[in-house]
Amino acid sequence: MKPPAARFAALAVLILVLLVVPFVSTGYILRLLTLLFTFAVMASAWNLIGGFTGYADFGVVVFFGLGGYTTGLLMLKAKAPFVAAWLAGGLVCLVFAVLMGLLLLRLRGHYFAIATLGTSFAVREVIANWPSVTGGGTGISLPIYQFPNSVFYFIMLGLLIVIVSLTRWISLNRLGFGLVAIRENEQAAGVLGVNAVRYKVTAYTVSGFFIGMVGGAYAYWITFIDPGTTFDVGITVEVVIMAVLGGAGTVAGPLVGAFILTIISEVLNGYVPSIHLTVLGIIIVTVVLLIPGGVIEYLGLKRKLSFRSIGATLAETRV
Amino acid sequence: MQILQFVIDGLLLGGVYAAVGVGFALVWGIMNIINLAHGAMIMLGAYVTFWLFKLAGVDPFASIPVAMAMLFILGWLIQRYLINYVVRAPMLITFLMTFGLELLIVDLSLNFFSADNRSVQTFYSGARLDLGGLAIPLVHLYTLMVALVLVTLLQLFLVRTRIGNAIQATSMDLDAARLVGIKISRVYALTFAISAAAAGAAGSLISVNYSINPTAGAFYTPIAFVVCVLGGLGSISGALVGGLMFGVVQSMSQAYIGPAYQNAIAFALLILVLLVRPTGILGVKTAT
Amino acid sequence: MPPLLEINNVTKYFGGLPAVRDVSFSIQPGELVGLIGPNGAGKTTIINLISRTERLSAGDIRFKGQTISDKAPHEIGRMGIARTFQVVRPFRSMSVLENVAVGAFFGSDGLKRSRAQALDKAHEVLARVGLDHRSEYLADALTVPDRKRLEVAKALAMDPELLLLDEVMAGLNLAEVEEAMSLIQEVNRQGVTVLAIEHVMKAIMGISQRVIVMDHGQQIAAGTPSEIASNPTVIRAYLGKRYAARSAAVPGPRSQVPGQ
Repeated sequence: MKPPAARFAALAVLILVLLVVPFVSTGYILRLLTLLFTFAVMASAWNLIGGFTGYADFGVVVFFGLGGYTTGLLMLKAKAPFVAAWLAGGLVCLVFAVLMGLLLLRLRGHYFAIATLGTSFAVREVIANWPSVTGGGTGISLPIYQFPNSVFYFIMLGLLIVIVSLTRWISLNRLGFGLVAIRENEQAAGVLGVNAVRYKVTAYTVSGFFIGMVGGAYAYWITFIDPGTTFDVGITVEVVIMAVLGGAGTVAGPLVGAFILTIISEVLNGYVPSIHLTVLGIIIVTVVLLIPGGVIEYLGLKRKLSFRSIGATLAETRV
Repeated sequence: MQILQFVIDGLLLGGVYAAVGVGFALVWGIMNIINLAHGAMIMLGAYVTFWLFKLAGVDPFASIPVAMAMLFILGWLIQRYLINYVVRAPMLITFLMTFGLELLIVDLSLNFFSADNRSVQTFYSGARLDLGGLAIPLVHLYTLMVALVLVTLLQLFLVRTRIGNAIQATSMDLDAARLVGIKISRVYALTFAISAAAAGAAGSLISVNYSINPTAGAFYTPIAFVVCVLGGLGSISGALVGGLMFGVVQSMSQAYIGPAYQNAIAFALLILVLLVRPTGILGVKTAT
Repeated sequence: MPPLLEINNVTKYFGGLPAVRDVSFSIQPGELVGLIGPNGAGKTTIINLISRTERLSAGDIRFKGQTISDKAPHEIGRMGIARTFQVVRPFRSMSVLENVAVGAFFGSDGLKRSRAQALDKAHEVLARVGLDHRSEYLADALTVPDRKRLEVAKALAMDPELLLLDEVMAGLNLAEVEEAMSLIQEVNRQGVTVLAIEHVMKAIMGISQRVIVMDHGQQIAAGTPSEIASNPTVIRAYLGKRYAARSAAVPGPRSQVPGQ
């Protein structure tokens, strides 16, 4: 593998390029990249609890929606400035994640997945049926912003850089080792001294916080939110697929997965809009069958001393 | 008297829910797979009945076996050539696989059948039985009866036949089952096929009671979850109990709290059961 | 000197079945104690109760005078008690080094260690058990004896004061048993108190200073290896007359049977 200096340089160049993009590209590219970053952040966030810790969270969209609605409602009704409302959204998600995490992380596997899935449905229902506070099913409009779209590009890019750096740091240090140990064998991890509850909740909370921040920024960008789109379970599934496709449990996996899936979606939408979901479905099925460890695993791009993705063991044990 | 009406409504509704849950419970219990495409398969069964009715005038209840047969074959193929490869995978992988299938099936259905709402209206669709002040829609009643028959037959099949026992054995101990000569991939294919057939039957029943469209399946899959969790995984009779219970809960909450929070309550109930008694009312504790 | 570990009137029911019934014993610092008994005697349950993998139905367990029967498993680990599992539990998609590093990160002083320090410690422990040359291997790819070594290494990386071993020698051939015996004695010599469950009689009788015998959930005997070997209750329950005669006549290379 390339020496660290070369890799660092490559990364720096990439970031520089990304910083320059808004000034030289079209609105379409800008929008596409902003969307890509949005999902990449969520996929990376999910990766912490779903990939590293092995607790497949299917309630991703609950944080997206809570972040969006908190930001939106505070801006609309309390006339709060964006940054304050945005951070409040993150905070609400953080608290919600701690509470939900303590409650739900005692469930394993399928049960945890269903419970988180159910939570996102339940919260959506509550929001949709509380028109006096949340505007109900018709949704709410946020104040329109006067600054250019590229601000959101930078916000999402910023969040992305933060979460990826954080993920990398986690993967190399005690927290990461603890999370993966929990994933591989929670009981064995416990007797080695890993406080499973604290670590699981930590991963879930960090994940929820970042997803909430994405949701809040997204809401302001789009200017309109309603329960149907902001709590759409399809978002959860897209996020999870991106992480798995790229390689759940690796640092770069969610980025790769987000990139591939976003591009494919755009292409499909452009050329075969009527069956683009069919093709997407076929792609998902194929990926799951052929490279369950994800792209990163498949290409053998993993560094030494970082963790394999969860599907990898499957790939090797399949008869 | 009013309460009784709501309970009856709930039980009748529960019949459909039980039919929806039975197939799901089978695959979850035996193969430990959550089939996210279950709702989509239900809709396929519904469309079989709808088209047979529309094009050939076949009575919906009579087309149930046809829907079941067609879905049986489809289920067999899906398991044998797709799911079989990921049956032992981490749960996430199978989740995604079945989700991909769901996307596929629903989108193809939308393209072939269009998104219009359809329903099957027979000459007896509006008929009601009046029992001392209680109104019992005939169609709902027939549905409940069929659902009960279905569940009973399935339960008998599992317990009384050799093949049924083989299916149960594989869920209890895979290696032991293999050692006594049971061909696992065939058992799984059969299990999934039966589940699909049950989904087909549920779809047929739904087409008579409610309107259908390709995306409606997404509504029934979560119901299957709740029904199975309530009644207990790995239990066919549990799906029946869970279905009836859920039907009554929905009916009551709709009557007394209003339709708005109905779904929220359903999910809250789901989470509560998962936390307090994850094996459900009749479920069997498994190693996972 | 106060005992390192005290098991006081400990009872554990699984449903209606008593796996362990009113068992009491204590272990002094620095001892190497063997725990033997027929299958189903409750030996692993005792270890599970100490490590809080299972909860007590009745009784009390104290470590260095402090009650530990209300602590969470990870707290037990951090206090200085490490254990291995009978059916080994490697972290399969982590490398051998990473597996041991978990112990180094979370054991007694682990929370103070940096990544570099934890990895160094892991290398050091792997060298002790003879696995360092495989440190980059996936835990999944190890042979059975190596997996057992890994299991012990993970526990050792925690720098425990008390090491609970659950049948580490099961499935090992003669040479591997010898190696395991010397490793355990080495560890004990360096100050780690050891409680080892074993079925490989030659090994456990050869290295233990003291042996406790359980049968059907109760303690039926305790004493030095030769006392145990000639104890009629034990022989009846477990050893069989032939072993008793053999152990008195032919000492093993590291046997501590008195009188030889």
